[in-house]
Amino acid sequence: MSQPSANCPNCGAPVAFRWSGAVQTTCSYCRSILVRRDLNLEKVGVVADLPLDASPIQIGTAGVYRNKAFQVVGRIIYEYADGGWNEWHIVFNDGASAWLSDAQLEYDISFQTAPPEALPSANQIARARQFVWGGARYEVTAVTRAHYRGVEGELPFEYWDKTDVVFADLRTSDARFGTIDYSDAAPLLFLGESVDFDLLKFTKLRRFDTPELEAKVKASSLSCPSCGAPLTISAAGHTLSVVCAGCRSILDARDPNLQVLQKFDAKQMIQPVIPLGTRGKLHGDDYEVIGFQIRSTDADDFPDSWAEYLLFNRYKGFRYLTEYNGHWNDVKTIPAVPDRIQVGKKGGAKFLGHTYVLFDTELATTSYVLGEFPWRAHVGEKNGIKDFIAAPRILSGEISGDETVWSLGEYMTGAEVWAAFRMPGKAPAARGIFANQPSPYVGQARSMWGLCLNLLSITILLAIVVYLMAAQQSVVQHQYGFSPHTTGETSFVTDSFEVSGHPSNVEISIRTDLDNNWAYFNLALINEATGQGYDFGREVSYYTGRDSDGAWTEGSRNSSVLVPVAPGKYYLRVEPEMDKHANSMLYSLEIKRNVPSMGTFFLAAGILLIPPILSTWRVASFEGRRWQQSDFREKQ
Amino acid sequence: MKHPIYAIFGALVLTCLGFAQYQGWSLTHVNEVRNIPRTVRDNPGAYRSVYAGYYRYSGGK
Repeated sequence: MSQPSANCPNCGAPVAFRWSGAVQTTCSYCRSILVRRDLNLEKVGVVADLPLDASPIQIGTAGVYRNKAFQVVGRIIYEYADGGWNEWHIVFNDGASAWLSDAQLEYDISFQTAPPEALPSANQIARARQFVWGGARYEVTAVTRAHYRGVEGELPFEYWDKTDVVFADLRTSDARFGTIDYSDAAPLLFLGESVDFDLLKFTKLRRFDTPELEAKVKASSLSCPSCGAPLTISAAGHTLSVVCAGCRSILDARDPNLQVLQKFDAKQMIQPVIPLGTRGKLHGDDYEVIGFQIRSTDADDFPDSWAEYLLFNRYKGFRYLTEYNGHWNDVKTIPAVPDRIQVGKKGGAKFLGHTYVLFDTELATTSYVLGEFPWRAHVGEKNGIKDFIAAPRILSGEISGDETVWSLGEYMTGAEVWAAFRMPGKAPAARGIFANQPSPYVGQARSMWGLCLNLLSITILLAIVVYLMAAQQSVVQHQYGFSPHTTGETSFVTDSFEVSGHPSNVEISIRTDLDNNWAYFNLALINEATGQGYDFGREVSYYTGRDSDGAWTEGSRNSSVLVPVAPGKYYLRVEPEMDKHANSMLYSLEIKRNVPSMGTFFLAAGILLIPPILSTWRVASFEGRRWQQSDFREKQ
Repeated sequence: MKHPIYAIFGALVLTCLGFAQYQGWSLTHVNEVRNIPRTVRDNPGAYRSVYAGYYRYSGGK
């Protein structure tokens, strides 16, 4: 990168340009705003006192975006009622320039782009308006009327005399980012994407342990103008409101006099379970608890309240811990607008490959605040919230004025929070089931069914082996006739047969020619040697007919029975019976030995199925209790 | 092993199944009767089954 230089027309100090395309720069000695006019520099103004710089980025910071090195050469500072942000002007090694937006330590890189269509005017733009550009659906998530606060360094255009400017921020479901900038007569479009701080591989960042900064921070550690109690501001430069714990005044942290914004009454002083100032580690980064608020729903069916802890890291920004009845969530705002979809009969959302189901829509009211906040916190603030769940994650869309903020939470146990913040003692036990609490049974049931499938396969294999190995040898087979009109003894015995080896089943099969009749066979399998017998009976009945429904049959002409017997020599005593008025019948008897009992296999399979069925029932029961708390429980 | 108790339970069920097959167990209920007279072999009428005279439904559909 070539570095042309000139002298400041105001103080004569050398002014070196990091970027040859710069139109405007500032003199680092006399703070004059200088604009290039042909070969000369012209002073057009003086940089006002800039607010306390809380961004880790500064002029000269270098980074890498999509494998291209860049350097920060300038910035524009904006403020609005609920905060402020920096637009860092970055230039790449190839001379291209872009904007790195830094709003509460959330970063977006965007490039000026020719609008694919005529852009709406500032009066026409509104939250939730959608545009499809380059195949992506952009949704307006915020319309901000910002106040130009100051400039620093080199810019690609003259930008020093602005006042209020309207911006519309747009986001997609895949973290693409856009801004419509209404600072010029014709709106400008900037498109880009959200970027992770770590991925930009920054070097030459601002250090926060310098004496200058410490002095500035100390200067901002004032006392409450209402009661005189000392106040500590940990996120100086980001904090917009701070709460005096002594008199419950909410103070304007941007005002040097700490103007009282609100005084609120609370029936009792609420002490956060995790005290303010506690430091912990989440996702490998250090965070400090700097704010605490209690929010309540107005719902008649489940009026409830939960706690939100605001966490701060000077480089990684803000995240939240929410707590409800001992259930915790680690929450971070997301730079995206999830796709809204239909999940069965319920509404849903899709984000980063996960499908979320709409669980609750509620109006949340802030009822208690403590600590400091990067927004103008106030008791009584109401926000519409929609919660979508895909346990252990929860996706929440929160509407506040002209802004929709989406956040993604992940369930944490109290023990995990206690470990992360090195809290003494044990976390309070969780009560009930929370919306995105992971079911402890889902994985268990799935893996149990897997194991069950293996056990059933072994059972089937065993059945096949037993069936193939069984002799099933026919030892008696005879045809008989029986007439109920016979007088005298009707019982008879078969020939003897041998059951050898281990105990086994003997199968006795009866086949008749019955037609609309029944027969009953009194059977006794008798051991010749011991006189031990197995006494049982079989009924055979078979009926056919025709009625208004058509032809029907009932029963069967055949029957068989398995009798488990010990080894030995046996014969079968048979005593048939029939209705006295029935016709005679012909029947056959066949006795097979060593016949496997397949019923035991079915019994074993049934027993093996009981545990996974119980486990699945527990999954369903858990989900049922989860959805009992939902607005949509009746539809479940 | 995610479910050691279920695995042990399954192994026990399969062992019992194998043992039941070896022992020739079946689900059929039969009455075991001791000391049936040896004369039954030559005179089947010398023994009456406990099921004899069983009255049963004999209708159709």
